[in-house]
Amino acid sequence: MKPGLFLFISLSATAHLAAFNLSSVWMLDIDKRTEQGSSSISVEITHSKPAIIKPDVSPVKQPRIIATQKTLTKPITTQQNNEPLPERTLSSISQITPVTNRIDINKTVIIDKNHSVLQGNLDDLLKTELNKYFYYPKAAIRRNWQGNLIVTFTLDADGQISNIQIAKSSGYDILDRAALNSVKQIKLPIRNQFTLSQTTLKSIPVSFQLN
Amino acid sequence: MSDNSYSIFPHTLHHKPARAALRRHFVFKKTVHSIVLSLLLIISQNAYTADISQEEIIVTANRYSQSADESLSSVTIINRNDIEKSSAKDLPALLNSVAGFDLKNNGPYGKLSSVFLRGTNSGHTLTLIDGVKLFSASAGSTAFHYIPLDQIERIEIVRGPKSSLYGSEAIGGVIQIFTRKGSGQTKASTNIGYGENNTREISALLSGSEGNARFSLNANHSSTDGIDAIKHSTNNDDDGYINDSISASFAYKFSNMLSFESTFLNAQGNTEYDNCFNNSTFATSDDCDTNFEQQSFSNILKFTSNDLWDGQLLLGRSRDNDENFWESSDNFSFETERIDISFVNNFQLTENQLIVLGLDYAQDTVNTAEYPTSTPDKRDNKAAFIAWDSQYDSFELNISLRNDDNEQFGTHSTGSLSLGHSISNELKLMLSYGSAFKAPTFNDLYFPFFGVDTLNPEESESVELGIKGIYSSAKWSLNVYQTDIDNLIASDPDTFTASNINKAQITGAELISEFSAFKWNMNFSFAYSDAKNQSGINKGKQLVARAKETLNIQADRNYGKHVFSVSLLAQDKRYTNLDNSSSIPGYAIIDASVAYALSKQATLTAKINNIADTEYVINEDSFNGTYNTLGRTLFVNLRYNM
Repeated sequence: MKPGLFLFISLSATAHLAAFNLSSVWMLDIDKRTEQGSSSISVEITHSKPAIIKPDVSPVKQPRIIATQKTLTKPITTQQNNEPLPERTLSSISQITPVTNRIDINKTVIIDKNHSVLQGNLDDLLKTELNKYFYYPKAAIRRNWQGNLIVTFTLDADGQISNIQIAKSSGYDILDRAALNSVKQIKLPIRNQFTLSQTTLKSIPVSFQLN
Repeated sequence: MSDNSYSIFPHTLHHKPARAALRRHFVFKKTVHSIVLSLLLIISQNAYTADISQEEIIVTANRYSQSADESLSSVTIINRNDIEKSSAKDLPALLNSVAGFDLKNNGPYGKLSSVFLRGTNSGHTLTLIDGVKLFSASAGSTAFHYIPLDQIERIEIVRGPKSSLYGSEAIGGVIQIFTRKGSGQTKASTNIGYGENNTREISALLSGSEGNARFSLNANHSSTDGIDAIKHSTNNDDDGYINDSISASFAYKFSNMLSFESTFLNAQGNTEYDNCFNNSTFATSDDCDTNFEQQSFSNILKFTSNDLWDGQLLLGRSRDNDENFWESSDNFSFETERIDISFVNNFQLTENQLIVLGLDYAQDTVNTAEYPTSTPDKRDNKAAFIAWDSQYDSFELNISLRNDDNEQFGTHSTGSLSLGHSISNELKLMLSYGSAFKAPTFNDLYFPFFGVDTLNPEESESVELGIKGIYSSAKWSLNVYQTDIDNLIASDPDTFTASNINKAQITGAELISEFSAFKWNMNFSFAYSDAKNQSGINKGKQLVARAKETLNIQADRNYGKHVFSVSLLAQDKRYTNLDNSSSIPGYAIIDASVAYALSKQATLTAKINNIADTEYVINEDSFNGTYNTLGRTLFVNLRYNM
């Protein structure tokens, strides 16, 4: 920050003790958001303060239309997998060097009713949704309970979420349950409107930390 | 897609056991659900980390841990990092940088200091150290000036009445100080500092954790030649100060259901001051000094039986002792001891319904030769409280009720009610009412020619309206309050003895904001308070030592190996006598500090207080004259982490 600005803030604030210009807070807030952008995929969730990070561009509202990829237009039906996956499995699967039809998670292809193919960012959608529902259980805060866990779920081609499981427990039922309950509430806007090209298995590491 | 895609997985792993587990898993899959294998799995390890972290927790506001952002009270949290970045050299100065506080002291460096929170009296703020009340039962206030900043891990400040949870003193608010705690890897560090007025400081810290145990041990010695406490005093002497302190903490987690923590703090030393008078001859002198000792010892057992019930048991003791000398001869002494026992139970009925039931027992003991021999040397207080905190959609309700049964004045009940409403994800409205009280001090009750043993507690009622906004990189809050205090104890103009005769009304507001701008972390606060006497001949006059307007701005940023920090404190004029015929002018002071990392282990810090060398006064009266304040001072500190 320029020293001049600090001096300006000090002096103007001293001169008019009560007249603090709140709009500067807003502006700075916006600056910061733009800085964070959507490139970062880590989501910070603080309980009861949902949507702390707001993706500046909603992929659904401002889609970029790309060339139709015929091979991806048919959703693949899936059978549910009832076996919880071990943690390492999940992290390793990302390392798949493809075969055919490999799709980068950040370039998930979404197809709407009119058969237009949109390139959106599924992560942004999920991030926004997760921010709405993740919370830190009050009883766990009171007891200073902290832990890391991994929750997995299947995201069907039509946007349905199913098979929500704890792949790795935090050691506390309350925290595990909070994560499960949060994911259960996710409602993706792609449902009924868009079709995912593929069924995907998502793995979300959740870290409950108090300071 | 073909099955062979799965054979790629194992060699991407680094840990053998996990690899084996993975292989077993997929072998199982292949044989049982061959159709599943045709699924294209798209999994990204780093897709999102739902990191529910950095929850700032406050335990003081509701007597249980809760998120600070969620609290319906106006709170400020100062952690170790803030203390190190702050230019404040002692606890009273640090508190003075927080919204809502006014400071009055009898000179710098360990001299008698009083803090006024939200315009209330200096004894109207409850101070806890690790859950134990630390104060002088004879004077009714806490000696903040003797508690070294180096021993403090964290401070929680709650503005507004909290008697319905804590009992006596919590009229203006509650300050809870947590001493140093250990965590993470075992680490050792030393500090050596030197500055103006031959001010020296040396300290050593050992802390860490081992399995389920956490520990911390910190020793500090500081001394200064000081400056003359009173301006133009007949004897132009330096009034020095020495403080030796040690803190120790040990915590052990037996299981997820049971943990224990014990902390100990002792600070003792000597401070010199001016204009004291001899207890028998009434002659005054500028050769005065005090040997002091501040101690707190806290033991907390926390337990959980199931999702429904958890609680904690606290056993604590604190001491405030001083021995005062007039020209090096014994003048008078006070030794006060506090014992606190509390048992608090939380019943989490649902995620949004909590009931707290608590029992508090306290005993104050005063040992002094100043009171008549028939004076009781101790009094106890038994109390029970209940709190019910609930949430319905965007509405929250906190209700608490408490009954205190005091050996001296009998029973007294207090209550509070707070309503919160989340207007949006970012904005929250709060409305609250609370009653509070302060028990008469031993001096009010028993001091010769002043004390009256039939006094009633001072009582208050407050209402508050607040709004706060919490965003990804900024926070702000605005609180407006009014407090009416009745039965204030003062000297009766006819009999010159203590009487519940005074009334006061305080109307005020605080605007607090925290944000980042151009890589600087900014803290801004503006406080307004109109504290008026509402009784006697000075009705309508301002209470002494409270400024109507106070502005604090602090900014810091990291720049490579440097951390820069600048702060501004500006304060309006304050009256120094009851009829408002004399006052001290407003002032503005700028402090700055820079820390430089010499290596991974060593950090050099330079702090300059009062950069502009502004001459200002923060306390004066007709009897003592004007107390001195420091001009520009430099302090350099070297920290070495082993």
